[in-house]
Amino acid sequence: MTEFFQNGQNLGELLSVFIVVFVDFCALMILLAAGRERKRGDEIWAKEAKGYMLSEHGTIYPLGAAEIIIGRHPSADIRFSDKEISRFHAILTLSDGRWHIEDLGSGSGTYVNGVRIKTPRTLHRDDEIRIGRRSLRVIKGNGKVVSQ
Amino acid sequence: MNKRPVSHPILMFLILIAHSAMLLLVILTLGFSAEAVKLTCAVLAADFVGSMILSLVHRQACTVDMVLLLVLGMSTIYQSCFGGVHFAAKHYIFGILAFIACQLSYLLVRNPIRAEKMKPFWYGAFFVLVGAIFFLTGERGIWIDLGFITIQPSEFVKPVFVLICASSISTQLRKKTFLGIHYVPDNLAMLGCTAVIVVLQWWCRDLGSLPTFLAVAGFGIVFRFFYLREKMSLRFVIFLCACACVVCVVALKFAPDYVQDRLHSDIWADMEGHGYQQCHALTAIAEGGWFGKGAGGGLLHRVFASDTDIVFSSICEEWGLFSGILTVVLVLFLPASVLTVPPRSYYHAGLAAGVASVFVVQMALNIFGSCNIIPFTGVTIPFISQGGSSMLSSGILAGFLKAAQAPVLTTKDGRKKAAERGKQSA
Repeated sequence: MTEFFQNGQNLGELLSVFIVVFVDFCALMILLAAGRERKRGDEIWAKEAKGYMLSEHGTIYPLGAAEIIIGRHPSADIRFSDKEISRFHAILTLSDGRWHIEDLGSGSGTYVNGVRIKTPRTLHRDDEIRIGRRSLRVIKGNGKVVSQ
Repeated sequence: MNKRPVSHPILMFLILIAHSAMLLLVILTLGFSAEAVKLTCAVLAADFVGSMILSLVHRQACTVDMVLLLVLGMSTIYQSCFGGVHFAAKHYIFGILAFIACQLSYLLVRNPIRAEKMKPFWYGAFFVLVGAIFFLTGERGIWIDLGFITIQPSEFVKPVFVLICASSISTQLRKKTFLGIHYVPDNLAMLGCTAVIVVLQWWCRDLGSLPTFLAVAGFGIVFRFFYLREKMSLRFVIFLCACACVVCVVALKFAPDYVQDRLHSDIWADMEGHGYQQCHALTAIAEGGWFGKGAGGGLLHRVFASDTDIVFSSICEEWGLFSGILTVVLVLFLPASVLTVPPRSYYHAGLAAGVASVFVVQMALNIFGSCNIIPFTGVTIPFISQGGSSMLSSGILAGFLKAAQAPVLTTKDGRKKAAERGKQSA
């Protein structure tokens, strides 16, 4: 390092140091921009997903991805430990700005507004989903942005 | 809502300054020449035009585009200065084509549902490319010589294989039964494609690329077979690492003779033979020091594959170890950018993991090979090494990362229907 500072007058070397530092700075700025992009991504997602969420007696389950599994299994996105609920009970999917629910061959079935579903069904605001003894209501978030 | 990319003009301005500083260093070191002027104009014009196009076309996911512009400009400058300034026109043109390929592949896979519906097409493309390698390369090679250009089809297999290995949860839950055995057709197809690739790489004697494909397949398997059954616990990650180690040990034990030779040969004892490239590559890194000998001041350009297989050493020799490491970190920024904006769909998450594994494994093989930590493999560093097929393939893969960050889940039909519903309700 001593030798470097002794030769520090060399413009080429100084420029080399500047390039390394400046490209580092560029990378940092891009990283900061990516952080802000995440917020924008959340806003766009909230718009795409219509801000829909599931609610059960005050507990809110955000829908933060295009595929949400409801079930008893540890890898389910919305997890219930009730025995009546299958490991992979139902799946919520987002397509063309609409949420759909599909039963995954569960034992106790999936009900929307009291009707057992056999094919994928589109969800609307205030629909009631019954899975085992659980009753989930589709609600619209009040502009709150949800991260995955 | 702001429709322009976040801080787009500021980032572009910073990238222009970074490239200008590098070009100034080239002119200060190598003098003012026609080639230097050509290089300067070309790099700055690409920055400017690229920036203009991006500001008009895209509304989000500027991270990948910005890093790509920065890296492609740097790589053009590096490639143009090995052993003296000479504008690397071919590298520059393929850099631009890679940037365009990134935008096109983004448009193709930005809707995960549509991208997965196109899987039969991906399988078709896979077998067309495999057929091309088997029948058109000749002499068990990997190159197709068209006279005016040579193409390496195995490079294009990489993005297609990444598309095949990614899968959505819905696909994984669609099971069929045969003789009482439940199976997912998509998983069988993926394993079949992996087997075809292993046979293909063995047939072509291109085992250097095999770890890249196996890494993609490994992520595909993890996502399909394990993630849905068990959350990623520390114990599970340790188990996977142990499996990977076992596979490595078995692969090394049963590797062909020429690989065994490379594994056990002492490069310093065979400096003029097998160890020629690695000895020179290591010496060049040492001679370059922290800040390099200066642009065009290196001697490694005299060694075969100095701009492809040992390009990391060439950069370290002329621009210094700091610049070499910085370049590597910047390329790694591309897959890492997905961590800042996580994918919203399982298919896109699979794509991002596949691309990350391609980039990381390729860079590790190239750099560790140059530094004699592992045997020489001849794998390129994405966007940095010379090579049109590799550059285009990397551009396509970067587009997948962009799609994971800025997905579109509504089709044109969906938008029309939504508008109609809106009118009816009004």
